[in-house]
Amino acid sequence: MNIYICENTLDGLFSSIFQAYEDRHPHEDNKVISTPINNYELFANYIPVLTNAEYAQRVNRKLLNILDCTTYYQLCSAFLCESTIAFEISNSIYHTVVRCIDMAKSKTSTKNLMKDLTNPYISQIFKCSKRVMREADHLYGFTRFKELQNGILFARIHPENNLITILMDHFDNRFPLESFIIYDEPRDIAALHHPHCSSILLKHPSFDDEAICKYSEDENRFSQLWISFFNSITIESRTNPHLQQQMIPKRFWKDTIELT
Amino acid sequence: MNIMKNTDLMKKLDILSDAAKYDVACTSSGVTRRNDGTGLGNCHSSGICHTFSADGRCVSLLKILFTNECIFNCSYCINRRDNDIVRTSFTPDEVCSLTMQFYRRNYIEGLFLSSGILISPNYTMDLIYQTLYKLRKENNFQGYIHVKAIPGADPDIIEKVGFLSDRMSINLELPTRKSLSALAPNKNRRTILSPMRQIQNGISSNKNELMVRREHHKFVPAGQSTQMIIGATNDNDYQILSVSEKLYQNFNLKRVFYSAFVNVNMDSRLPMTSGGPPLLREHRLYQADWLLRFYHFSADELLSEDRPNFNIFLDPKCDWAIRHLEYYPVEVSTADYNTLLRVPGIGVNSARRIVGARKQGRLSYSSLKKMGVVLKRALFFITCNGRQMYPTKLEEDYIVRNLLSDIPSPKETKNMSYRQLSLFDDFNIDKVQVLN
Ligand code: SF4
Repeated sequence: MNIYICENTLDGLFSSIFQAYEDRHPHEDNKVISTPINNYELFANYIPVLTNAEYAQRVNRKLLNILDCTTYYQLCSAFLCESTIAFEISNSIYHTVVRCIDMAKSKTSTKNLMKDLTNPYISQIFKCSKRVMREADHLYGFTRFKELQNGILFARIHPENNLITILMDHFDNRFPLESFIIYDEPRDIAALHHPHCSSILLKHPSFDDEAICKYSEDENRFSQLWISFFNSITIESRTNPHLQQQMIPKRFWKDTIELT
Repeated sequence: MNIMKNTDLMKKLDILSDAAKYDVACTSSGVTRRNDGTGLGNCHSSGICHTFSADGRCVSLLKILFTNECIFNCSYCINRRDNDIVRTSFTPDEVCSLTMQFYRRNYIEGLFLSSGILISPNYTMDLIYQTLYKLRKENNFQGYIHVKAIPGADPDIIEKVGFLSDRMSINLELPTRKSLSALAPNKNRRTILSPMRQIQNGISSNKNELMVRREHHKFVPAGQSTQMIIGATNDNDYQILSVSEKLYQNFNLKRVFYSAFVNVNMDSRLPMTSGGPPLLREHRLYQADWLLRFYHFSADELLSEDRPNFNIFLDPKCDWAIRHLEYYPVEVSTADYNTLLRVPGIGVNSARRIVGARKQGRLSYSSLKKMGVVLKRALFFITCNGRQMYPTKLEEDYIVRNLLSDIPSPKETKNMSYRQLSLFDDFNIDKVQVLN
């Protein structure tokens, strides 16, 4: 058994896939792991892989070439999953990529590949991707921006999965003329958008703590209006906190001002 | 009448959102529109929920009345002319500012504007038009707008509003003519159905007009919906569901919403709803509505003159299955899609997945489970490669007894809403998950 160990990024994973093809060991004997290893296996051959942007790009291009966009999107979004169900997801993606490449070689369409849920790798990718997309759907709605004194809209999020890039795409199109920042606090990553520019992603942005807590004059007024709207919209005779919590799980509450 | 002038915005919003809340439709679905780079907002066809209120309903739109003044006197409505309540109105600018500022903070997907009738239907509809014009043209708002058409307003003003909004609706309010004239004396079927027909025709002429190029100049691109009040009159479920079916077939409606009656006016001529609004009934109607729209059922299959109301214990699909055991068992590895859809425990998504997966390989009970089939319910009705999951009997009493041990009692169904039905592909799955 050969175990490729790579950095926990999509580029890292794609670099290992590239390396695995270079090494020409039979794929069935390989494994790719991108998270820290706790249990070393005695009879395995561990191969550390350095992330290489160019190799990663080549794998990426290949996938874009042979996959339809839904399948491609599922593979990539599954990687963003950080729930326990994502255990060794990199390995599942690796083996599925191998399968895709084989299918492309034999000119079989990969269109229905993700429907083969009897395959454990695919089933895991399917579940992880679904979980990520579900959380993204939640955050499309539950993300809240506050207007800072300088007019920038600032949102803090605490997602289970590493999905800031998905949110960034969404809000780029939605607020093209706004300046906004989305900050994934636990991961310390921020997405920055300026009008007429494409957004950028910053690791460890080290914001000025004071600046991001000074809100504009309007901010208080509109957030109060919103909270009052939110409270008056409830039909008392239908009150059902259990249902409410099921629909908007508690973990989102601290970032949605109407519920904190 | 107690009319407040120059009330501060907070107070107005309080009054005019409180008055709008009994309108249940709050979805922002049905249209996809990307931002063109010059304004604020876009639209997602599946809609986005921004929060959930304490009653568990999705909040997606800023749902307000333009005014709660009204010259009509519908007995179920808190804003009826005879009620002695505080009255107020927004200005078009106030509505624009609230919508824009809420939207950029990502509180909402857009605006849902309804209104009481101030002076006349046309006068009110024109105020709504001015508001939308400002919002779309001056503020360049590209998010979702749902407008209620006012019964009795002229066709040309309805048309102008239609070109600025994504969805329009006009409430049918009550399923029969008789109940409508009893409870809403100023309204009649004609003033409701003729704008409904007009909107329908406007939507279908969209498709023919090549002139309509830019997405947001389309006429009501997300379609129209309507709402009926449930439990204010003696109309039975069969009557209500048949009306919905007609609305879907003949008026091409996107959605029919059902609103469990709450006696806000404590009007003694109406049911008192002291045990709370008839939520289980509302829930059953949503389930059946779902079956009409996605499962190819017809109202006549689900109910009849002799059985005019839904089963309290079983959802409409299970109920149908139990009464048609001759259709079962269904062999999942060969049955066509429509047959799969009629199996309790199999929903739209899982049926699709089954059809996809069996092309790739052999199905098994564990793979069915992975595809989202609720085996606990489905197992009585299916075979997989000729075999049952457990030896069971295809017998009414036996199945009902077993299903009921798994199905929530009606009290527990209180915790579910129609919103969940639209979130998950199969309410059977949903029900089981909810209770675990
Ligand atoms: S017309 Fe509308 S606002 Fe006026 S009383 Fe009837 S339902 Fe209420």
